[in-house]
Amino acid sequence: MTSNPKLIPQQEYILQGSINDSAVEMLLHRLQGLCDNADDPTETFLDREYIYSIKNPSGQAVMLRVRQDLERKDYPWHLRYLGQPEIGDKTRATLVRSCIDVACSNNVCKFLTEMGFKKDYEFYSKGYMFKKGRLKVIVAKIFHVPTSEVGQQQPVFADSNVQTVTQSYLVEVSIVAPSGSDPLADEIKQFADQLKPLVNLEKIDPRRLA
Amino acid sequence: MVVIVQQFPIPEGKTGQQVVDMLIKQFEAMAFNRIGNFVVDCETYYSSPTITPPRVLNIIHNSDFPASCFAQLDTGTCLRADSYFDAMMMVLNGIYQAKRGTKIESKGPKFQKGDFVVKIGSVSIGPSFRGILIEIEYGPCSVPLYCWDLLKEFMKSFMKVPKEPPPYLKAKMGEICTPTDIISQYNIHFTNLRKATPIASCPPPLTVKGSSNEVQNNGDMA
Amino acid sequence: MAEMINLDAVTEGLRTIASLRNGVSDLFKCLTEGVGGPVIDPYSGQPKTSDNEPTEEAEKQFLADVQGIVEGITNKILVLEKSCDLLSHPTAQVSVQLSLLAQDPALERNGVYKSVVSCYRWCDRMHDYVTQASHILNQNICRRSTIALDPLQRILIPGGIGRRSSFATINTPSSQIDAFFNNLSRIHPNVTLEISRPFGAPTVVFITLDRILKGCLLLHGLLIEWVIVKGINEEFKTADGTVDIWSDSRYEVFRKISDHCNSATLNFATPVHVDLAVRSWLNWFVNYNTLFTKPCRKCNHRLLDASPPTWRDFRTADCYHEKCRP
Repeated sequence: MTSNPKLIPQQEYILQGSINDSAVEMLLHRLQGLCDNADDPTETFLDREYIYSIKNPSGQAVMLRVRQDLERKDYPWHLRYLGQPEIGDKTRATLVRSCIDVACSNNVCKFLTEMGFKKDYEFYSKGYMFKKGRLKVIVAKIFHVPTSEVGQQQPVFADSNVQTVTQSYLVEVSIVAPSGSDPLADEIKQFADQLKPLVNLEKIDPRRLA
Repeated sequence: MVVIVQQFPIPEGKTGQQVVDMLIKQFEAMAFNRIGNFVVDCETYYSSPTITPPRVLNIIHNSDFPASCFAQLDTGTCLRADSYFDAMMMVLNGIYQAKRGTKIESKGPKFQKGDFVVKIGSVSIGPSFRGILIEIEYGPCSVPLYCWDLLKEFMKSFMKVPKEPPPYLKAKMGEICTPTDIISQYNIHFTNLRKATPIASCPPPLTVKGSSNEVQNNGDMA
Repeated sequence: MAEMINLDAVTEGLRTIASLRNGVSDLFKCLTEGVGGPVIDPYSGQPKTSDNEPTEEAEKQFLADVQGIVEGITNKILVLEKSCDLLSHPTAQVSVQLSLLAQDPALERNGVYKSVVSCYRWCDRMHDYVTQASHILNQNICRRSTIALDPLQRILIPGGIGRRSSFATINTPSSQIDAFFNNLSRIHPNVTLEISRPFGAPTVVFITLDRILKGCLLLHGLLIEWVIVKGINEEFKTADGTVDIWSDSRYEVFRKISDHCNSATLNFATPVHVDLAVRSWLNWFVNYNTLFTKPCRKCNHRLLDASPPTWRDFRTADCYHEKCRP
């Protein structure tokens, strides 16, 4: 890509699925047993995610995601680019998409707006995170704050003013690795199979859902 | 830390290199320790015509913050990000485009005396020499207001001292100085020096070994 | 499947590292002994009696020794590099090692039961010992603190028990210390005091003076035992959140001030009115709010050897450079 050795292109290998609210407790127990640091209390998170987009001269939209950690306010904000997902053929076990992760200062929203980006939408995700080596597992619920509240400077995340989107949790198993580490896909699959009766993790192409 | 970046005047009839050599000799005589080299480089990106209003984006790297990348818009907003932001600029290729031959950099030796760090930067765009920037850093203090007199006393020993702090710093005298403030000061000077006519009859400044070469290559690739 | 690791290269590398360490320690040993062998006889432990100058021959011998050892070290480094090259590139081994995930936890096979039993027995026995020990220790209480009234002290302090400072012992309850510092921070509005007890009983107080500097006090009871001063942009906590009270500031100025602060604790210390000592120490300490702004009283300059006046007089609070002190 460049002569800068730090910029090795990274790719995300990912499987996604969902689980009903009533069964999520069981899944959490299963994950706690399978993943690292089984003795520690489960790591929770509450993030606010903004989706920004800009059109390039040929009319295609480039999307960037900004994540803000609402639980640990001193953490840097997180800017993320995700490339087009590649489903691949049946031999490939997971979805693959190129990805760029950048930690940045908290004025990133203002910066993107001034660059010409438009905010498409935003949502909150609240849930649990597990690690197994380099593997990351997320069990999270997606919320959104009704539009009437958005005009406020800093809408508060409270039970009173959030709306759940569905009656289920999103489950993601992913690894970010230098491109070409394809054997990892099989390992993710192997891990996903361990969760089989509870949740079916699949290659989901968001373009087909639309 | 409090940092002030000042342009060092080049007297008539002297070349930039002569002034730099003279400064180095003077610092050595004043028992400053030479602690290596530094480079601050800045590449300018222009927005595509589809973006309204049009914007100019400066991507700046500072060898003193090797893992960071600073992005400053012409609105003044400065984003501090880690160095993967360079890869992000490639994703935006076409929307924001670098103009060839606008990469400007300031590089040279770094000296230390007590808690002060002084950097002599020769500014150049490609082969054309544009001037000298002196960066003075005082680490222990974080608020410019408190140590302005102290800085003046220190600068007096080797250069002409401005009566008033530079306008950028003056607006922020009571605030805690951040790396962003260093970058903003460089950006202001770079903008001025770009407009200035290149100083003729000057040999290009000495190339600095190490990281700067790598950055140079980057520029050629873009 | 993960690639096979070249085990031969690893063993070879480990062996080379061991001998490399050996070589380096030889080098240091040789260097400490200096020209002409050790000054202290290794067998008798007595200094060598002959005090004649090392001969030229001995010097040559010494140089040859050092050279030989350094050459050996260089060779070993080359060998080590070679065995490192034999190892495959680390990125090729990105693997989660999930193969053990599906293993059936057959209890009879992995011998956990045995170790659990022995662990339990060990704990049980330790419990017995502790009960016994505490019983015995309770019979012989030895009081080391001055909780019992000392008749001499009553004579020394006119006014008797009523005037006696309640902080005189090191066993001051923590609530009392908290209240004391709460009072202090009310007196000095530009000082923020943060109390924590990361090591159990000893109190650690973090002082932030305006936006000038930060200090860290380690207290034993109310006795100041250790002071460290750092810049406003430096931290006393390490990345994992533990408190680090030992490492010095990055900046010369604050290292110097730390020294001055420690000497000030000695100056202000009194054995009886411990609270007064802390109070006057802090009164003196807040004078550092002019650290960067006030010129030296003697030379009238702000900088001397690129350092602002770091000394504050104990009585008058005048500021001086260390070299300008009266």
